[in-house]
Order: sequence, then structure tokens, then C-alpha cells
Amino acid sequence: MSTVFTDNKTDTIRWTGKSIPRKEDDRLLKGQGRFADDIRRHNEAHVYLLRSPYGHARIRSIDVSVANEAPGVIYILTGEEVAVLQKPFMEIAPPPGGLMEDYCLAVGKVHFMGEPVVAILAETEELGRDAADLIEIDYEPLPAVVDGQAALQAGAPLVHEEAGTNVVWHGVYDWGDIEGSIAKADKVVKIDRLHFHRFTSTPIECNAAVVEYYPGSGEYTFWCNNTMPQFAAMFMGPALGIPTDRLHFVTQDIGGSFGNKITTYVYLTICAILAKKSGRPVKWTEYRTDHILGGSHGNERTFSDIVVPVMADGTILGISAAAIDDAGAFPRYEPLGSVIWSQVVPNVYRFRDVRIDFTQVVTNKCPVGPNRGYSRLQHMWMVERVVDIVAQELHLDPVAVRKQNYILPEQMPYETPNGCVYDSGDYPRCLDMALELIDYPKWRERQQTARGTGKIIGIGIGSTLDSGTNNFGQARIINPQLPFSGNGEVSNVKLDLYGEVVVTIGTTPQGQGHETTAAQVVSDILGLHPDQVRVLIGHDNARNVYTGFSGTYASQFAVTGLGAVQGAAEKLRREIVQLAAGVLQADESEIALRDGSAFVQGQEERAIPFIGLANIVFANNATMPPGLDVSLNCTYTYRPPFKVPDVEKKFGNLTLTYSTQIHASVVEVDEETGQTTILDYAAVDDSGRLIHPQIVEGQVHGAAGLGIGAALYEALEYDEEGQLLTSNFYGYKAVTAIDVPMMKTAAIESPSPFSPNGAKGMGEGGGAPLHAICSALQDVMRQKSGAIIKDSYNPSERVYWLLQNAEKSRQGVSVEESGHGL
Amino acid sequence: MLLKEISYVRPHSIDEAVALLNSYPEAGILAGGQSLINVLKMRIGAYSTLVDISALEELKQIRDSAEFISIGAATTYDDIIHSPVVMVSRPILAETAFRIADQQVRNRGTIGGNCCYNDPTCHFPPLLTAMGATMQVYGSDGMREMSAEEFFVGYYQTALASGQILAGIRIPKPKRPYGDAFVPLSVGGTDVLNAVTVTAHVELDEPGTLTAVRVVATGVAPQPLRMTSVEDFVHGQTGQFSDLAGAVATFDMSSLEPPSDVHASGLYRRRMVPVLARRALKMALEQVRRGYRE
Repeated sequence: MSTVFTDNKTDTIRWTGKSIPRKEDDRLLKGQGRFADDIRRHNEAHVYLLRSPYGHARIRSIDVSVANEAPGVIYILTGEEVAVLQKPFMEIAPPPGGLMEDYCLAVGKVHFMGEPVVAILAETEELGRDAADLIEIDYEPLPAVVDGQAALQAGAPLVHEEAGTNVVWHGVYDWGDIEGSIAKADKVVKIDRLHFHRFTSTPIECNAAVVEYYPGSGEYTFWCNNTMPQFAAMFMGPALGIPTDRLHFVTQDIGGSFGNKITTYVYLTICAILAKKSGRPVKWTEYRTDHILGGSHGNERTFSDIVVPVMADGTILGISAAAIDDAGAFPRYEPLGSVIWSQVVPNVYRFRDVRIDFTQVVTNKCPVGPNRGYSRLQHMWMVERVVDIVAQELHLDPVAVRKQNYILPEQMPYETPNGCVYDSGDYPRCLDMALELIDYPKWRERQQTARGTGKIIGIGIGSTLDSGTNNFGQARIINPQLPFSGNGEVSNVKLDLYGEVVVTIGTTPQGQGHETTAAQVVSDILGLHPDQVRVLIGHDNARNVYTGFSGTYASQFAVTGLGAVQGAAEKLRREIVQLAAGVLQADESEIALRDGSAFVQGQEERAIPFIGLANIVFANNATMPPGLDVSLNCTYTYRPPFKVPDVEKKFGNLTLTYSTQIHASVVEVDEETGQTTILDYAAVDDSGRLIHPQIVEGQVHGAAGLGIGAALYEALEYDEEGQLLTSNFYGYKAVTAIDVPMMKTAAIESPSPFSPNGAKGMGEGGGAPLHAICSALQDVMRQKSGAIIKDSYNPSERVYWLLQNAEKSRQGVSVEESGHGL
Repeated sequence: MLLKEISYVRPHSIDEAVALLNSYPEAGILAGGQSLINVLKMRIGAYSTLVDISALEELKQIRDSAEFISIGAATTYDDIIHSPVVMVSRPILAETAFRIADQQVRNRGTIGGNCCYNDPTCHFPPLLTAMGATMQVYGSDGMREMSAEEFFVGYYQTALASGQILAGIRIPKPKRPYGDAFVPLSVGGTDVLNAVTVTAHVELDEPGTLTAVRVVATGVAPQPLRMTSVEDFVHGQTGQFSDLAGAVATFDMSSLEPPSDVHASGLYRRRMVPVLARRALKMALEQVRRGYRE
């Protein structure tokens, strides 16, 4: 059950803010959705990718001679040929990361288990796979590096010899005066190490594409499910040596992405080369194991030397830490994660003095890519761990410590130490609501009565932000040469030939309900029912509007996408009103719109339906009222009010909106086995003005489910040779519906003063379940062994050992009197 | 299709199935395919012919008699779950089948397949061992019977010889109050993968003492492991027996050498055996006392 607390809402808004039935559900629930793998082209051929069985190995030789003669084989592509046909993909990083060479197939050596080594194009996928069995590859295994800290050691194996180091990017973020804080603090809490583990989001639909090359125009068409196509184009055009406008991306229904489908350009490049080589449309659909092995993983991050100056009352003054981010074998979207975390430097807290020494490294593991909560959740998890550890070690109440340190509603808009401007929110109220939903006093009581029963109850809080609508200028903090800043999305809203209202947007929805919410916004502006608005979803850069930022990622559609839709619909409304006023010989101020007609207010018989207006413009334009220049075809680009950040100081507003998630979890741990069961769970969100509360709640459930899975069940674990031990659902225990508890949700609406509609992006969530469950487990340990929860992943066995022996986890955790300096 | 090219034959009788198994080299038995197809998909199985027994009605029957329930090897989990005979006579079979994977898997997966795969995380090998089940093996020389303990010989290994089919499983119907327990430790979410499982069976005889005690651990040894010292300790005690810790303490846990893998360390598995054994015994004893499964 969801409770929505709404502030003031006007009566003239009929559709925005209501949970109307989703327009997409009819086709999706009937199995009539059209996904990338549903695309068929005449004479298509199929791609099978032979992948590396090694984490790190030199390729001595590849013999495809037998496979070439196998039935149905059309073409076999290896790294040797790729090195001739493709320039290494562009790197976002300056050197040393910028020196790392990335090709679509392994060239010379393999860098991670699952890296594509040979691409076989065949008449069927099965024949391709059979032929792959006939390919002989002579590998010379090399020592692997599979840990971020180990990658920095002298003598560590180099993932990319050409870079001379495993470091992708290094930078020191230093705001305020951490030394001063440490000097004036009552206590200094030190934590030697916290580790945020590697997991992914498991979209139901794996990656897929059909790629066709037209020799006549030199154009490639990609029917695919990439969710940020112009980012892909930016990498692929230079790599293939062609203008990016020859890369035509088309998306349709997409079965989830969570950011994981942003970096598929590597695979699309393989398909492009094969399509041109063969003259055939080529089709590639990933297997689940391939997806887990070689898709896109979430960033693993190790925090070390964490120093937290604290006052006796629990006021946290700042944090100093080193962060080592493990990007896997190739940077790709990285090192953007090395700055994106700084959108939420103090999380929801008031502390001002922060120093983070940030290093991103490559290892012999699958490359990472954006993953729900991308880069911020790792950082906010660390901050939430710090809060709970401070509370435990100083014998303070973790709820009280949070309230003591929360940024207060009256401080909004609040500028963080690095210049980010939290637009609105009320964290204490959200926390109170979450505690009320779980009946916090009841559980504190039950915690007592459970003592001695072998079950230990823990209560935990996760307070987070979902920062949405990136200012791409933050990329310049990584690399000042990058020509990016701001953000934006574009929409076209028009009357079609027979007066239908048609909306297109540059986005790539993957379950977020863009058709529905866009129709709601347009309906309110044009006086229609959402059923009367047709929204054509999907990115199509040859036929549709788009910007360089177009796509669906980073919690921004409600702001940028709907901002664009709103702007375009308002433009169209002005044109409709102008035209209707001319036709009806009335003043523009007298014209109103309702149910697909324009009429003169108070004289409703003086009306013209949209079809009549469309007829004038599109098929009868000699009757156009004089002096008018309307097209009824309106495009608007929404541009958020951003400035370029100060690159030297690493200072500026990095995102436009900051929605809040406060989660409260109650867990029960079986003392004898370490098994954790969730007894109660509440999620309170503040996503600003809600366009469609049910869609928002669906996102809350989804993000919570993924977070719970990551906290308890899901880990991408490699052995020391770089073998992924969890490459299918037998090993990678993806969360299922029965593992997700019944959730209590509530929302408040603190409208964003900066977004065009008061809404905030909220699709990612801030990883709050990871924080809340670790917090609850810390509450369990506080009653028993006093162990410190130092890892974001806590399966039964880890909890068991923490209960058995706290010593190991307590090593490196200390509370010191201040004045020691760093 | 993800498999290598493979021949497929679908016999009309168990005799024909055995004949086919003996006439094709590298022939394997396909029943529900919930494990076999995955293995073939990974191209680590080496069969060139699949003999599909899933349509053989004679292997899909659940039969009731005075002494036994007989379950055909090709009976699906879902059929076991919905069998009135099972529900009346040995409901633990249905309760356990219901914990396997999801409905799609339960629609296809079979009890015989579960036994023949004999993965240490499989549900039925330890359960059938605790229940004292008899495995009916059919070959060219006719039907042969062996105990579950004889049948499950090692990791992924059974006593089934090449050319033989597991035709059915015979499970005794106790004539006196009894208790059955299946206590798994799932790593991952709900009933996802049982790293260690302990099953237990007890019966209460006329004088009121415990008999036919079987306690079986799996996931810690190559085959479902009878914890005989625990069984001996409990045997002959009264129905009110409650010294579970004492009973379990008789077993030398250090003798176990469980595997370590990504799911759980060997040491953790070993530590879980006494915990689960106590719980399984407790559950079985509670049933015996209230005659729940009488």
C-alpha cells in the first residue's frame, strides 16, 4: 500500500499526478512488445562470439582454417583483422587511462574471461557455434590481477602494457578543511577498510542487435537495445573511420537496462564490421551466460584509511578516505564513475570537510558500466557505514546520529561542499515516516524479547539520494579537454494529418512508462484524454529528434524528457490557439482546448476540431488565415540551467535534482547459520512532484528488490586466475520475486524549484537497501559480537563468521581522541 | 537450439528404451531435461543420442499399495506435489518437491532425473536415503532393486550402469507413527541452492521407543551420508527424547571433508551439519509425538 502525501495541486491539472493505466501495458502483457531480438531482416546471418576462457592470456595463434570450411560459415573475424579495420576506441580518460587500447575483439591478448576473441558469422547461430568448436586457439596464460588494491602494487601484472600502469585515473578531491576538523573534533573514528562488492542488475532482456550496412549510402542501421545511442556513436564513428551520422540507431521496446546496456558499442562494432564484410544483415543475441560474463558489471570499490572527525554528541565533521575503484579490464564508460560519485559528496548530511583520494584501476575482470545507482551508491554506502560505525563505537543511537547530522528542510536549497545544490527535501520527515511504517518502537521491543531465542533482530536505516539529470560538464573534472557540459532532451509534438496528436522523444525507455507519462503531460496542455495522445517511443536518429544526451539513464526522464515534451506541447498549443483564433475570428485569449477541439470560451458552438486545423495546414493551406505561419509540428529542446564546473576546484552543481530515499529494514539473523530474513521493510521516497505515482512506486519496488538481492545474494566473484565463478544463474543468485519482502512504501512531494515541472528523476534509487540491510546487520552485531560490517555483500556464511569471530572485522577500527592529525 | 547436433529417439516402452540405450553408443536418457539440457548447452556432456523416456506412461505412475508408494522415475515434481497418494502417505515428498526451483522447472523436472543427476544440492537423494527407499533399475536382464544408499555412490555418480534405466522408486509406508524431515540450508534466496541438507526419519514402535532412525547429510560428502552414530544414539530412546545436542555430538564432524566452492566454504558446510541435524531430528520427533504423519 502506498501513501502519498501531496502538497498543493491545482484543479486545472487533470492527468499529471494520477496513476492512470499505463499505455504500454496492453501490448507488453499480451506478449506483443517488439524487442531487438524480434527484428527480422531478409537474408540475415547470425553472429556467434567465441570468448576467452582465461582471465589473462597472450594469444599465440588462432587457427580458423577448419572452422572456415564448416557448414554454414560465412565469415570468421579475429583480432588480427580487427586491428586493421578498427582504430582503438576513444578513451574518456587522459593518460594513463587514455593510453589503454580497446578493440571490439581481443588483439594480441585477452584481458578478461568472456572477452570476445573470434566472431563467427554463419547461416544460423547454431552453425556458428558448431564452427566455433573447430577453432584452435593457442593461449599462453598470464598471471591475473583481480583486486583493485593489488592492481596498484609494484610488480602487479599489467592489464594494458601500453599504458605502463593499471591506473586509469587518479585525483584528490579536497573540500573544506579536513585537517582542521580532525584537530577540533572530540573523537576521531578510524576504519581501515570498507569494501563495496561487484554485482549487476540482470535485465530480463539480454543485449541484442540486428545490423545492416547499405553500401549505397555508407550507412549502418542498428536495430538494438542500446540505451544511450549517441554515446555509442561517439565511440563507434572514429573507431570505424566514418562520420557518426552514418550510424543509424533504432530502438524499440527494451526489457530493462539499469545502465547495463550503455556500453554495448563494442558488440555493435563487431556486428557492423561483419555486416559490411558479408553484405548481409547480421543478427546477434546474447546468451545469459555471455551477458553475465561479458556484459557490464557494477563498479567494485574499496575504501581505505577512513578517518572521521566526530563531536561527542555525534556530529560528524567530515570524512577523509582513499577510494580504489575497480573498473575491470577496459575503462569504456569510465572513468566517469571517478567523478559521478561527487554528485552526493556528503550524502544527506551536513558535514563540510571532505577529502577523498580517488584512484580507478583496471583488473582482469569484466569491464564495468553504469549500474543502477551508478557510482553514487558505492560512496553513499561508505558514508552510511561510517554513520553506523560511529554510532556503535561511540555508543550512540544510529537514528539519533542520523537526525543529528541530516541537512534540514529549512536549509534547502542546500549547497554541498563541492557546489552541488540539493534542490529540496525533508530527510527527517522521511525518516520518521519510515520508522512509523515499520513501527519502530515495536521492533525495538521485540528485539529485547528475541534475546536468547537464537534469532537476533536488527533494525537498520539507509538514507540516500538519487541525483538525477547530470551536468555533463563534470566529465571535464576527469578530462578538461572533453567538449561536454550541461544536458538536454528533445521532443517533437505535432498534429498529424488527421488531427491526431503524436509525440516523439529521443529517449530509450526500458520499463519506465514514457508513453504514459508523456501522454499525461501533453493531455493536460492540449486538453485531451491520454488515450488521444500517441507517443512513439524509441530512439531513431535518422527519422526522429535527438540530442547528444538522448537516451534513458541517470534518473532524468521526468526532468529532461518531460521538460522537452512540455515545451513542445506548449509550443503546439500556441500554434493551435493562433490558428483557431484566426479561423474562428476570435482573440487568442478567448480560445480554449478540450477533447480535441478548439473553441471560443463561452460560445462553444464556435469550435474547430484538431482535424480541421490539421486539414488547413497539411492539405488545404490556401485557406490558411492571413498572416499566420504555423506548422503544427513543434520541436523543443529542454536545457537544464547548468554552468560548467570549476575543474581546478572540482566544484559546481553536478546534477539538477536530488530525490530522497529513506529505507528502514528489520532483519532476523539465525544465530546458528547466519541466515538473514527480512521481517519488515519500508521505503519512503521524495521524488518531487509525482507525474504518475504508481510508476514511481514500481521503480521504488524494483530498486529495492535489486538492492536487497545485492546485499544478500548476488555477487560476481572471481578466483585469483580471473575465472568468474558466478557466470550463470546457478552461481549468480539473482534475486527473485519471492525473495523480496512485502514492502511498505510512502512518498512525500517536495517539488524541485529547478525542474520545469517540480519533478525529480528517481529511477535508480540510491542503493538504499544495501545501506539499510548493512545497517540492520550492524545492529545485530552490536547486540552480539560487536563485529563491524565492512562489506556490502553479506550472505549467510559471512554473517555467520562475523557472529563467530568479531576480532578480524574489528581490526583496524578505532576511536581516538582528537588532535592526532591524519 | 543451443545443443550440438544430437540424435533423438522416443521409445514406446521401457523395453524399447533399454534396447535403444544398448544399441546406440553414447546414448543418454532424457526425462525432464532440467539438468541434462543445461549440461548439454554448456557442451560438457558427451551424448550423441538422447533416449526420451518422458512419454512413457509406465514410468509416470504413482501407485499405492499396502506396503509402499511406487513412483515412476519420469514422474514430474508437479505430479508428486498434486498426488493424493503422496499427500496421504508420505507428504514430505510433496513438500520437498515444492521447494525445487520454480513452477516451470517443476512442470518438467522428474524425481528420477533428480536422483540420477545426484548433484550434492539435489533434493531427493538425501530424502530417499532417509526414507529407506528402494530404487528399481531396469536393464536388458530385467528389473533389479537396490537401496537408495547403494544407488547414490558419489558426486554426480549413481550405481546405474550403462544401458540401464531407473524405472521407479519404492517408498515404504510406515505402519506406525513416524516423522520425516527435510532441512536444507539455502545459500542465496528462498530455496535457491541447498549447500547442505540434513534429512531425518524416525518411527515410534508399540512399546513407545524410537526405531528406524535415519539421519542423512548431503553436501558434505560424495554421497548422502548416514550419520549412523546419531541414529544409534536415538534408536531405542522414548518418544519424549530431547537430547538433540547429545545425539548429534556423537558424530565426528572432523571426519567430514566437505567441498569449498563459490556457494560456501567447506568449513562452513561442516559447521552447519550439526545445526541442521538437530533441527531435522527435532522436526521428525515432533511429528512422531503428535502422530502427525501416522
